Amino acid sequence: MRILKQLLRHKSGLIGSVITLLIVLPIALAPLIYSYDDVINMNLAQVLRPPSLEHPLGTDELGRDLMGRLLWGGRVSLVLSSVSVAIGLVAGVTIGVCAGYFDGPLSWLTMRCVDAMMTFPRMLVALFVITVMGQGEVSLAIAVGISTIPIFARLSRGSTLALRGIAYVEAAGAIGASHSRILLRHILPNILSPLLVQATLAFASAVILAAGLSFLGMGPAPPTPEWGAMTAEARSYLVTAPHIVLAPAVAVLLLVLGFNLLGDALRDIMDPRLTQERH
Amino acid sequence: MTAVVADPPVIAVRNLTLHFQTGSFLSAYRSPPVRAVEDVSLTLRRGETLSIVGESGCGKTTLGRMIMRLLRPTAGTVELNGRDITALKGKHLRALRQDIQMIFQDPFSSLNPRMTVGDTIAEPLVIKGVREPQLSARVSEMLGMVGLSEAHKARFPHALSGGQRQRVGIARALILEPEVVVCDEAVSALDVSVQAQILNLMQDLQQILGLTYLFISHDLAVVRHISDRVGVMYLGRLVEIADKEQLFSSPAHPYSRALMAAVPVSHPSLRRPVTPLEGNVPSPRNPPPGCAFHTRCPLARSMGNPAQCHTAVPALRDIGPAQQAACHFA
Repeated sequence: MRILKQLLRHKSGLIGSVITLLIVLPIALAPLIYSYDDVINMNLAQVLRPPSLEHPLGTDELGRDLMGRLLWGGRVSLVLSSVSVAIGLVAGVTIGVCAGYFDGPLSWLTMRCVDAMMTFPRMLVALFVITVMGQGEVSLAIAVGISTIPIFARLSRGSTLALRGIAYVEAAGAIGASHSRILLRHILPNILSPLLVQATLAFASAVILAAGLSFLGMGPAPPTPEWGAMTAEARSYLVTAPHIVLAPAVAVLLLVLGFNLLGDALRDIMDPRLTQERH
Repeated sequence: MTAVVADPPVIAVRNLTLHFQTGSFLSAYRSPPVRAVEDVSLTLRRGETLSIVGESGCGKTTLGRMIMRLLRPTAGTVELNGRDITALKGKHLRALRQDIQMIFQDPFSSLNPRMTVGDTIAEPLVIKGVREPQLSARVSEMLGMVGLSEAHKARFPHALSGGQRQRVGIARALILEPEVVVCDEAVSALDVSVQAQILNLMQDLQQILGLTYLFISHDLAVVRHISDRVGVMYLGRLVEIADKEQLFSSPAHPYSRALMAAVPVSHPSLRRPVTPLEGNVPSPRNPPPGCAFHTRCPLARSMGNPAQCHTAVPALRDIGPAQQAACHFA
């Protein structure tokens, strides 16, 4: 609650929250407005219509309502990105916290592997995973998730290393706490705030990466609305009907912008140097 | 050993040594290890308070951590009631926590900021497997013992003062009813007025619970107040160990003498001529040969730097009935 209050007082936090809400809310409510069949089934009598009262954003090249596809596509994007951030967060934090806590040759080796992963562009890592696993929503989420692991691993290892020398972690060992208890009760809760900030930013980049991969045809199969895929399918009409290309692209842009502003604001708020918790 | 020893000691430390390899494991073999503690032997008698004093970096904290078995010694043994605890691991090591506990220096960093006072104090019992309703009852009892009220239970550490936090730290250490408590600079981070309160509390609890304290400190005034015996460390070695009165009135080792002379006195007329030690403490990575203190020793200098000082390591030997010092010429 304290964080929410500060967020709304923070300039980019306020703008970010508003943008994010404006996008996420309609997406969440999409099934109440459009049935899924409406955005899947072709209607060749109404191809490439300009915006009207019936179709607020007009129709696409196969006569489907663009607004409906945009909102349903947003659900795919949000779910894909959330799942992939969750995968990256859980795997990355597990690796990072363990590597930071059990500092030794094995953790050194693990972190060098993570470094090696970081040297590859994320798109390349994701493409590799999809090539191995095959196309589809699931492998797209896993691919984006895996490419997110290094950021979380590095961040959580650094935070854990810093905490390891702090007296209350040593004290936990002194009262007989097991390693898992120390990790879960004493370390994890205290490294959560930088991870939360990172998760917000990672979400924004996951949206871009997922859309980019879908654009390349690595995402969900055709009738499924997905912003990257929609942009790709419509790109031959860029001159005749630019709005059907621009709509999903702008949607991606706004969602990413909203989450980035939110993440930046969260970082400012949670930075202990800026808002010190007074003892 | 003194003649008055009747009981077997609670803790017996023999030739305890710890060499730290610093840096990552790749560079560990390139630099010499830090010799944090070198060949320390001492015993802790039931119910007494033994203080370990010395400058920062002399290894006193490391010694405490090894006795506590938070650190594993490179060589030497630690015995608790005659049982060798040097090599305990995993489950057995965790079971040892029942008997030896620790009070930490900094009351601000020794409490998890995301746990309430009640949870922090209860944790040792939770780990041990104690369940409600005994758990809450014990926590409440412990809160009362350290002078906190039931209202503090739900608070977070940042809502407490330094003295209150240290009381929480004491409660956490004592709730398992340990025999031995290692107090690592337990009052150094507190205001002087609060120091006195906490020291008195610790003394009262020692009486009630029959605790044995290993009190690690650099503050000689505090040490004089609380100790029965005092050990002096220099560069990882125990250079003198004696009854408190003996050490403060007639220190035997030249280093102890310099240390005692540095204690401020309460009145200008009591001021003694002080010749401060020259030079700095040598690096524990590369300690001087022979007696570690010979590079700065006023006694050695006045005797014309005898060869013995920089060739032979002096062993602790009896100086008086309750006093041992590690000096060839003391």
